Amino acid sequence: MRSRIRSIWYSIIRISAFLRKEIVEILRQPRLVLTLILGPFLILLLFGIGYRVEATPVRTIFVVDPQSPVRDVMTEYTEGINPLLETVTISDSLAEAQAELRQGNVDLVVAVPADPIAQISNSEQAVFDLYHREIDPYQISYIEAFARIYTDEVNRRVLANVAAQGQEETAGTQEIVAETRNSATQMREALEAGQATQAMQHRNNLVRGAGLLAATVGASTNLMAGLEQDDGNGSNAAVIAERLEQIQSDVNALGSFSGNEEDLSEEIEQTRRIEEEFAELEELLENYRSISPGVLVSPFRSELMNISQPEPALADFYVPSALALLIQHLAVTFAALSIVRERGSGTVELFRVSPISAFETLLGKYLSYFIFSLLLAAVLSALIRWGLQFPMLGSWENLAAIISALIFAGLGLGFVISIIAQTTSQAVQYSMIILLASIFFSGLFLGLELLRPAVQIVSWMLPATYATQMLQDVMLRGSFTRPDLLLALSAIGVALFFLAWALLQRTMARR
Amino acid sequence: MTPAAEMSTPPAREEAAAWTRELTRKFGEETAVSNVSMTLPKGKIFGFIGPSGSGKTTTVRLLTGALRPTSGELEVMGVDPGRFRKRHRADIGYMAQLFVLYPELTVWENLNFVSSLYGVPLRRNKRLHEVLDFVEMDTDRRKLAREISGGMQRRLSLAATLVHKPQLLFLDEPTAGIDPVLRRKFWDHFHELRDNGRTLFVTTQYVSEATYCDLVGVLAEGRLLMVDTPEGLRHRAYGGDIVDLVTKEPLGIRYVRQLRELPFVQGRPRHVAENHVRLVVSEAATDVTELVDWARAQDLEVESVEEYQPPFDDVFVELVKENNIDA
Repeated sequence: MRSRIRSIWYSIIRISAFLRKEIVEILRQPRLVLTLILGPFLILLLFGIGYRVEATPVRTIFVVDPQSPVRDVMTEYTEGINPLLETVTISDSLAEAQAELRQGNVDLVVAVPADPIAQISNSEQAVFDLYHREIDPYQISYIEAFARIYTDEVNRRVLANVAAQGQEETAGTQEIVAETRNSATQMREALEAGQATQAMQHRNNLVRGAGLLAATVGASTNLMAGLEQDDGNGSNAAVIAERLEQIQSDVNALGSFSGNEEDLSEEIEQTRRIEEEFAELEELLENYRSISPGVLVSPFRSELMNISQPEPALADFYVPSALALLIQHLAVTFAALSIVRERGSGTVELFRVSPISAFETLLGKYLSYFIFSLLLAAVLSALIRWGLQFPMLGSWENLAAIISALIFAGLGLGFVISIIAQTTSQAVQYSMIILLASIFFSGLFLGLELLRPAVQIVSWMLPATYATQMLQDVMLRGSFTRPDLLLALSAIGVALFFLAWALLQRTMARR
Repeated sequence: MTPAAEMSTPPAREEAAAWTRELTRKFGEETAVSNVSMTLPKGKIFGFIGPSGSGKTTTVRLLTGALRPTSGELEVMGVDPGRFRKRHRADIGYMAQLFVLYPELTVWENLNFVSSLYGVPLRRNKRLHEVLDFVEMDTDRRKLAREISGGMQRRLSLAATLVHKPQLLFLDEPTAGIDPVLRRKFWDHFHELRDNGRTLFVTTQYVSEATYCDLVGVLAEGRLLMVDTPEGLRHRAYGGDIVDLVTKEPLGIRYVRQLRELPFVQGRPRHVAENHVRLVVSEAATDVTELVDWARAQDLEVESVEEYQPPFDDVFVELVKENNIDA
């Protein structure tokens, strides 16, 4: 028992050899330490300051034929249609505009169709031709989206104009509605007084007025009913049209009234109903006119509510993934240079002859780099939180657990590289490949969902991928919902430790 | 039995510090060490001498357990190095041919690191001072290893080899590239260690250093040509002891012919000067008297007659020539 305790104690002494040696070696290079802490921080700071959240304005030339009937309207439509649309000029010549585009003086040329009204009258869509010279696929998508928004906006404005016209037309019918409603009231009063002849006369006025309303208001409201968005209860214009139809029907029902009836209670009731319907119609028309044409054609708009509060700034969004990437790179590089350097300088020969085992060597190195990387990560996290004013929403304990697992797995990756690599430069190259793969596949810039499932396998082989997902959760959402990822990352770390151990055993074995 | 004769008789296998039989190591098609059989007695300095590329380092690596033999047998401290346990390794000290410690650490930190590798207890400051004193570097302990001279780096390496008090030391060309004064100091250290009961296996390509060893193995092209005491080697190289005879009168051809015919004289005497010949005799201690008697009989006045110790470089060349090897 005593000899076992002594053996464990000696093992601890041997492990401590590396614990001290590695840390002293690193600390003896203050510039390296400074670079390791300040370098990543400055990169993040520069990114935060330099990243433009606003989309780039699109410098645009509109090409409109001088004879075009829509030239004035298009001039109006070039302004205020989209804050990102910067109208450089309205040109008559497409060739000149395209020349400007080729020279990079503008970003977009919009060629307005020469006679869109004629095309629409022929049941054809009028087409805006948009020219650009982008090669960046993202910028092309941006231009495409911009073109779609622009065309939708023009269409909306045209429809709003039509709606406004419709409203104006209904305004002229207000008098007719009032007169017709008055005829209904007079007919009811004549009926109630038993004056059949007068009632007949008022009925005729009522029928004529209802017919006139159907012809005037009905036409425009039917048109508008087609343009307006429907909320499921019927559009404003559709309700008006329906009400007119009802009035027409009720008025038509009075057509059988001959004036000889003894009991007029049904006719009285019918005219009262018509009166009420007119009152409603008046109210509907009033409402209809009071609605903005813009609202009539686009009754809905969306407002985003983010339950993640406070909502992170765009640059902040990249902080967790950048932190994961930097810490992984730090751990991988530390470890990757470690054993290959020992092998190059010949110290592995010393280890091979001495009582230290591969396990003790690896554990000693793991511990030293783990402690050092953890300290660096702590300083870096503090600088991000208080130096960059990053809104850290989650718990620091979760953050520490994720970073610890990331360092552990990163060191494993680095040690495997270090043992496989034959030279220091080879180890550096392998580390750079890991870094490059992490930039593309860990979710730093591209969401994992954008990658094909087969390629996602590569993503999930990288410790930074797990850390990015979890750090985004903890730092930006303030929650830790994926403990399974932490387990998986730790499992990768353990697997890499055993792999590195097996490889180092082979390296240090008798040859 | 003379001391040399006593030394050249190898100890029994179980009493030896190390033992090999037909030890061979090949790297691909190339044979680095071929059929080396030798026995290292405990408490002695065993010099392993040979030119660069003769297989010295490979032999050390085989003995320390860093390399596996292609064929043959070996035991170090009674154990096959392939079966070394930690306690066996703790009894061995190894000084590599090159400086393998850390340039960014101080002398003290390097020594501390190696101490930990060997599990030296943490209260070790006294021991570290001792070994640094031994190599005369205690005052340099705060210097970075990269800032000290090559000679000091070798001394630091030696200190690192000794820090855990090993019983058997393998020193691979410890004196390579250092000045003669420091080399001499190193050998003084080695003698001190031997006198304290340690066994040292020292490789060197400085043939002259053979004279500091108790036993010397001569290696060439991976083959161990012979193992003997330094005196024994000289004897073997020239077929006997070398004696210089100087007379007042010139030693003409007549005298030389007579000298050749003496029964204890081996081979043909060589003229060093007109009155000075160098000849090989069977045993210098007894044959010197015979030579003086011969000179008197020839009415020659002897100015001096004494044993000549040829430099080991010459001894080595003779031995290599004898074995038909291109040194």
